[in-house]
Amino acid sequence: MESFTNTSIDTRELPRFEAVDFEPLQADYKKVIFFNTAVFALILIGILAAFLLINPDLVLGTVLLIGILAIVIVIIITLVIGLVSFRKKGFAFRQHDVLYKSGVIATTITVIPYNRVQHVALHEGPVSRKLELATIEIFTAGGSGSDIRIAGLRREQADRIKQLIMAKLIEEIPSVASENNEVPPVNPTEDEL
Amino acid sequence: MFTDTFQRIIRGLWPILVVWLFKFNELNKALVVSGIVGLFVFVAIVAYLQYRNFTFYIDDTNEEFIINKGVLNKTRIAIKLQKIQQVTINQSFIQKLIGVYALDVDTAGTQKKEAVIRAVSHQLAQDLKKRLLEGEKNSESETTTATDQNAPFIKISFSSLVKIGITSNYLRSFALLIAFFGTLYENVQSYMRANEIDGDKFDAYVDQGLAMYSITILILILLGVLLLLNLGRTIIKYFDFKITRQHQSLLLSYGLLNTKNTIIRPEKVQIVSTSRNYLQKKMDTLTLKIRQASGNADQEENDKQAIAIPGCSEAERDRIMALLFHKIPEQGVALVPNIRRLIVGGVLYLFVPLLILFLLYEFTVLPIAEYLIFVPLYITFTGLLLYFGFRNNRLFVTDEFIICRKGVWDIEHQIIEPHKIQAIRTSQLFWHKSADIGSVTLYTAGGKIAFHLGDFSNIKELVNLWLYQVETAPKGWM
Repeated sequence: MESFTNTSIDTRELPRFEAVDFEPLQADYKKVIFFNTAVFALILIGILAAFLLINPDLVLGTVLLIGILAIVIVIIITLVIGLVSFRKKGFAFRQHDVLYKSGVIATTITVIPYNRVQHVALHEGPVSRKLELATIEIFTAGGSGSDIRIAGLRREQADRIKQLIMAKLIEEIPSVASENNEVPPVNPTEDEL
Repeated sequence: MFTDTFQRIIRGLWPILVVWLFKFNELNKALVVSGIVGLFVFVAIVAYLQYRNFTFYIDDTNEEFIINKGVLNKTRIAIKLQKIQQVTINQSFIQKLIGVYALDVDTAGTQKKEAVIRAVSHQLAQDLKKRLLEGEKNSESETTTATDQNAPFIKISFSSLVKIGITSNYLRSFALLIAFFGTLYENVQSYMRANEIDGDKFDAYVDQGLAMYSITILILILLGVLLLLNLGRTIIKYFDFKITRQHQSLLLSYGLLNTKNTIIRPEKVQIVSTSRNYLQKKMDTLTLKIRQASGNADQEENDKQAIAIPGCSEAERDRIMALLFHKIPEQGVALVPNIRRLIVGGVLYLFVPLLILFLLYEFTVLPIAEYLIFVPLYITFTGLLLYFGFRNNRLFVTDEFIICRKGVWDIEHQIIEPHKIQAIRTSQLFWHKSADIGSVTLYTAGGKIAFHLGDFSNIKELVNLWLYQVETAPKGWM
């Protein structure tokens, strides 16, 4: 049980996850946010138009004014929140785990160690594809609450991240296999890195 | 064979029968009868065909368990033996009458059971189970099999079940009681108002006394019924609870009408939680819940799947813990939630409602005055809830265990081992930054554990430690 004596080290000397430099998302991703907001705005305008068509007597009343005002306010709020949360998002890949930071009101940091990753998925939306952006999703067995979803990555970067995690996953397998044979191993990843 | 088919027919017909019962009067009787007969025959044929086409076997060369089923759509399910998580043998009431057993095979992959074999004989079920679970640990020596299978490791006695049955679910009963008192009070109020109009005081007094008396009796009856229901439910569900050791795992079997068999394997256990209230503590009895890796994101779904062992004594709990964790978890350094938790709770649940009530009282004509008697009651009740919830909330951390204690009346200890952690999430509201408080959630494959508003520097230090433990430990999470 050599590995157990390791845990009695001073916790202050451990690498600190909170001190990590988070990498921001690609600036191009803002365009995706603008696009999504525009679609949202169009939907709202459509609803207003439909409403006015159904009630033609109200067309030139205050209803139109209030409706437009409400839409403008909602869109501005959506846009501001979208941009602020874009600024707040960040990710970092460490030797042994991946970190993702997000949240406007509450700053949330999610950490997934590589040896707990179940699988990785790569998504590309229609707009993102034009901008050569991609979203990467990292799943664990801990349920949807614990998954990390990083949007707004360069596609090559996302690909590389996927390769990296896959490589880490394969790397971890020996340590898992040796556990079944009940041989207390020295963690292989530690020596290599 | 006939019984199996017949059972399937009943199962298939059941919902249709219900629908027909409701519509019976609206339809032509003769048509209905012929329809029933026709349907019965049709269902019988389908059921028979389904039965004919349902086969299962174990493929030794590929180490797979294979099920073939389906009449028009043929389905072939193949499950790798080493992927099988759990095999349970259950027996519902009907199955008990016919004398067959159902066998459920579960893997970690999806939410539902992968394969259900509805009707097999007891011997076959046992053999299958043994065979299916053997596949996983074929490397293990088979010396410790048959001998200890018969002697129960722990047996929950009838009296412990009674204890649990009487003492659990108090909160629910209490809420019901509160609601009941509310309506009672309202009735008395309206009664008194009616009295004022009515001149004859004496008659009114007698009537009122009678009403109060009958209502008291009613409450007592209601309480008794609640207790009995709880008791009955517990006993029917957990009657004859036996825990047997098999290899390194625990075999549970319980139930009065439906007999259930479940296997717990220590390495698959993710969260163990114990729960007991003040009365149960005095009686030395508690409920143990075990959550295994399920692949379910939903916490409530997880709660349903958790395996409960009711009516354990402390000694029995320690024995189970020792088997599951190889040692008894102890409470280490305690993390205390910030006092703000109490203050925010107070503001949310005491100050705001009272403010709204006051505003309504001042500025509207709603008949609030007569309900004001509830205000002190509400304040004490909520205050106590908040205070005890705050006082009981602790996070205990040792090198090998993380224990989260929470609850107001039923105090729950959730115990996990650091290497079962899948992901860690810390969260801090921006106005908590200067006060250095924040929350942490630990995700495991069997659910999550959250601790809110603790000292954030402390939490961060712990997170670093846990990450270190997860990333360097040779132990897998399953």
